[in-house]
Amino acid sequence: MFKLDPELEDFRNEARKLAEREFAPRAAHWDEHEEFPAVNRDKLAELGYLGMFIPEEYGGSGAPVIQGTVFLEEMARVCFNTALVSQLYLNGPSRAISVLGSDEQKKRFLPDMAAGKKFIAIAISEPEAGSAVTDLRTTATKDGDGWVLNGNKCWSTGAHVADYALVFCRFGKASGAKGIGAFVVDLKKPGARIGHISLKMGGRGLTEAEIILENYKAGPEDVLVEGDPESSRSFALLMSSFGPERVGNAAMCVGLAQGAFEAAKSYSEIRHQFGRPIKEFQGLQWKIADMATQLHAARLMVYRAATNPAPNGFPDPMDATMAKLYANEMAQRVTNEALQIHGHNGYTREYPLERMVRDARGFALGGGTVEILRNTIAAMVYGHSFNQRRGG
Amino acid sequence: MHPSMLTEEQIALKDAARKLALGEFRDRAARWDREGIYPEENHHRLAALGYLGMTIPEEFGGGGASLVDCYLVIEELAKVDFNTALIVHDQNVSPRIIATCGSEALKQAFLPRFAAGEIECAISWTEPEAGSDATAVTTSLRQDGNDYVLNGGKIFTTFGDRADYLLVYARFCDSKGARGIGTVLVERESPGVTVNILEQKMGARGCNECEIHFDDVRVPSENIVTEGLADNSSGFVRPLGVYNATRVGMGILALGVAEGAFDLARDYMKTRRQFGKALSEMQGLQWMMSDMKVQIEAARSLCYTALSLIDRGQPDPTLSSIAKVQATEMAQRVTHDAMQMFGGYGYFGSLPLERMVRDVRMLTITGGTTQIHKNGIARSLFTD
Repeated sequence: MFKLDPELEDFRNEARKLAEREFAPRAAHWDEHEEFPAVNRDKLAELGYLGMFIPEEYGGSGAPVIQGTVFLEEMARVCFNTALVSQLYLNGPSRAISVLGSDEQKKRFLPDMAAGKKFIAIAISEPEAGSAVTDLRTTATKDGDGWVLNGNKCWSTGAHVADYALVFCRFGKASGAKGIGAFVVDLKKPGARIGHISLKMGGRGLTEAEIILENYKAGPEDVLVEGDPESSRSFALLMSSFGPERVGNAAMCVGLAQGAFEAAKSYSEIRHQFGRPIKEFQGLQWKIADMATQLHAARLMVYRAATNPAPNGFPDPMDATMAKLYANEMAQRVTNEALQIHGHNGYTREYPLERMVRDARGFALGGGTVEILRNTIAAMVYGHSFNQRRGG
Repeated sequence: MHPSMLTEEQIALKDAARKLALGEFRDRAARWDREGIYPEENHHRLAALGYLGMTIPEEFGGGGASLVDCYLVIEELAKVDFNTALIVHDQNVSPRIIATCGSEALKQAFLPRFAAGEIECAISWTEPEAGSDATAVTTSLRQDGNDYVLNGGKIFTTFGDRADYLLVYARFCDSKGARGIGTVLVERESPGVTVNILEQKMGARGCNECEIHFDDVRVPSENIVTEGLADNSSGFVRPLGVYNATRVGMGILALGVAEGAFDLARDYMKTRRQFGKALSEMQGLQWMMSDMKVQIEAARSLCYTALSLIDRGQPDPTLSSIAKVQATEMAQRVTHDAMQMFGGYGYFGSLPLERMVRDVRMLTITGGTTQIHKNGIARSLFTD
């Protein structure tokens, strides 16, 4: 894809205008005060943006992945925290429920998600199961026609402001990917509570929290995908439903880097040193050229991943993984160079650059570290996965 | 400096600094950052132990230490607490400028007080329009009777809110460039001096940056450190000769933080298990650690070589720039990679990694940006 449809460009302009008008003025506020941008969420819900991937019959607009990509790009360009909230609404649990849920579940959760009335966090990681996600130990034990859940989840983004969490659990005694399935857990019900809330480097408007499950009773209607101790199929299904999440993550990187790039370009035009605008210096011109090139490459990778689905309808895993890897590292380099171009001003909170650098840093850690993505890509390149448990 | 090249005294000095850092400073390091407050308790400890005046000549009550010795200490402190290391660094710069360039009377009047920790000094050089273009200083100092009168504005003066004296770069006459610039000690509480603390910054949050205005501030003529002369640049170049060591100083601070982050990552990798084995057993991560170690040792060699040359009276400003560029850029990469080893944990404030990344980010900017030093390095390559 080398050019977006004119309707998509119109959509982008609308989203950009909204972000600049409504979200730019308070972008620093959410970071400074570590506050959830609830008003922005409400605004986006009211305008129908948060339900764009939810099927029309459940209150959404059933838009294609590329539209969400453009949307997340525009949000992240101006206010990263608003983009992060949007990403969870668009590509988080509502996507998994739309694809894998029962009719009853779709009716129960999706209209409220589209309307921004409810928020569902994702709970996968555990203290001892980070990159090695299939080591997770949270258990689902059969109890009558329902289940009892026990375990600790960490780094669940926004769990402390969420109504529900999509919790990955282990059914039965299997190890590895076998037996993993997922529930929608009501965080307000007995047996579920929020533990430690983390202070973090960036993305401070939507921080991470621990979820503690102690004999949480889940009904049969709360199972999204039942784990089968004999098979890893449920885990694979769940993971593929998070394919668009990688594309969204990469789109946010492109948007954030675009915002920093534009700030650096403008600053280099107005800042004078040695009697001329600093853009007149060749070294600086080359920096800008490198930034523009990397940004362009990342954007093309993201658009390809968003428009080139695999036969199962989800983004092609190679395209999506490479897009996330490249965009994650590009965003770190570009925001960091943009800060450097601002000199000491870039290091202060009077300019958004230091915040952008901090925000960008989380991408290489969340949603699969860049090291894990490299494992995944290598497995696809060789046509088989490598046993990461072997010695050496 | 490679451990086997240190003297016994230097080993003892380094060990003492390490014990102080680990025993007292490490546990409170997060507080200065989180609350944005100056490490007052640490300051008093450092003053009492003589670290703040350690490079002041012994005849003026200081420790008479070499730069290498001073930076061995700073490196140890930076491993656990960047803010506190920066205090020792900065407090050892201005007195050395006075000791090297000032009159005998000025040395007698000020150095013993610096050495005793009674007074502090901040360097006030950068102006809003004179950043990388450092000789574009417009703050003016003009004679008026027996005194001088200072007018102008400075920005990014570190510790400007608490220093008793400011070492101000000012223009003594109508001139351009380095000619006519000199340096003068200004008492912060003089009438006409206003100090605004600037909005918080990304890292080094225990050390305030200030904006300072001088409005007809009267300065006694004996406070002049180097006079700005219309026909030559000696008033600017002489203090610069001393100040240039801070290039390497930024490199040593960077080295210390990078080593601190590296050590944390190495320890963590031995205990953290994923996929049924320790992270230290994974080849991709081993190679990252090897790359980090190579970069750290390169920085150590460059920085201490440059410092040894200064101690010997044979400073090599280009090598100092090379050391600064390599070490400060290295520290950005190494702190990032060390943080990466911690996965999601590294991004959170309960561990020092994210703070270390934020702290070292300053070092490719302050004390001359990487780009300005590259200009200087290039000049040395192409000037016969």
